[in-house]
Amino acid sequence: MKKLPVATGTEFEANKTVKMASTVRPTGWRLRGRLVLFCLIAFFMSFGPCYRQGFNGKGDLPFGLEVDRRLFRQWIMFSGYGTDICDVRYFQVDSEGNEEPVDRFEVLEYPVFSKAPRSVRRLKKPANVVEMGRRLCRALRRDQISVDLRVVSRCGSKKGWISRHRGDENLCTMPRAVPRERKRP
Amino acid sequence: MIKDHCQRTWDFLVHDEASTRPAALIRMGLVVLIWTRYASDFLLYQNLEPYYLFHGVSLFVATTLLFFGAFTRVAALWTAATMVSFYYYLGFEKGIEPYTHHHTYVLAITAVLLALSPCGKSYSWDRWQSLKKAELAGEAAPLERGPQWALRLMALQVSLIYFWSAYDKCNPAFLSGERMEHYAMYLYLGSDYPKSALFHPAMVMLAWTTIALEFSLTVGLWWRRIQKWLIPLGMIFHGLLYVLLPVGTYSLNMWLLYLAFLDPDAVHRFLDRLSGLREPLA
Repeated sequence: MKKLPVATGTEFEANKTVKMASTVRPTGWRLRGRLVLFCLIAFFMSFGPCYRQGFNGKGDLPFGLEVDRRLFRQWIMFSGYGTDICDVRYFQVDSEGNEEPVDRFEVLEYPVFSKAPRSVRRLKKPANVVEMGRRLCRALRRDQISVDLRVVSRCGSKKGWISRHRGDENLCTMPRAVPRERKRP
Repeated sequence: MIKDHCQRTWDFLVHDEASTRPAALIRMGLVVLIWTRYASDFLLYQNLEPYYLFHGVSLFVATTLLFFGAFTRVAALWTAATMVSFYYYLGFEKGIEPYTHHHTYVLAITAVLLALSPCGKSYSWDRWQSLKKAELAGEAAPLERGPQWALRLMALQVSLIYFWSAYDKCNPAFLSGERMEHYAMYLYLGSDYPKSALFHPAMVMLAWTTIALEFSLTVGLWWRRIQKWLIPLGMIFHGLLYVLLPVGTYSLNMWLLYLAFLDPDAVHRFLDRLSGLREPLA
């Protein structure tokens, strides 16, 4: 069989030189098409985040142009992710004002952290923190006559931790939030 | 001198021609990522509404052709159109929220740019056809070379992602380590702040390291002399993101796009050596 010369431009058995990247300028419409596409795409990719993140653009472009700003991409990956978390510290206060930490896993009888339900491990919102407090109150009342359970908590937000409970209220005597009555039309 | 430098930069960005093997590798890798992310959503029993069927059939046919490099130009354009439709039509118009996520956009823009690259000139059925044709005509095998401007745009896209995501993190909540604490507690530790005194400093360090790395990758990846340090760092960074956060195909997509920064001819030579073809001794 006839052996053909190989000419990939970069291969070694071509036995001459190893050809490096070269500049080849097309002409005519090919050149114009390439330039237009290159500039348009580069502009589109660069403009999106610049407009939305840099200038907080809302879609009202100059010259009265209005566009759906979602057309342009912004790169804010995970910027709001993980904010559904509260950092909590439950504690009991005795008649002399001494504080004693309360381990909610122990009280609710979940000795292994990983086996506790997610709703116990992860309290997402201030309402969950209060609800967990009530649950702890019910559990603690089985062994004690009066329970003064309090919580210090802060919850996540895009701006960092925000303080929610300062431990100045007994969760066991806190009135339940009454759902607002809807106004009928 | 400045004019010369600008001209060289412009030529590098727009007019360089080099090996098409990196583009071909991106082509095959992209199809694997697209299938990993979307194929299961478009199995025929999932949804028989016409627009869903249309997108599903389009996805499977176009990407299969693209993977094997058959009628690559058409297949790449078809895949790009499908991916853009996933992002804008299914994501925003039909309100399928996960399709508006950043990883969908990265897959879509990679597909669009791939359609503008000579990705079918290597490792493809098209290549095989042109080799056979040349063989029959007694001509030399066609060159595996083509314009690189689409790959430069891929590289630009990667830099923009790094720059703007680092920019987004330059706020007190992130720099103070609090946002890192949220991630750690939300995903792993639950609502109990760790007792270790090292936790907070570790989160602050992690936050600053992330930002520094992202800004470094923005510009450093273009600099071939430090690529051998930055690319492994970037790959470790994305590998960690993959195992620590629900980032989906994003990490591997970025790994794939690193190919756009490499010297295509160096990749070509590397693959030759991998196949046992050795560079002649000088």
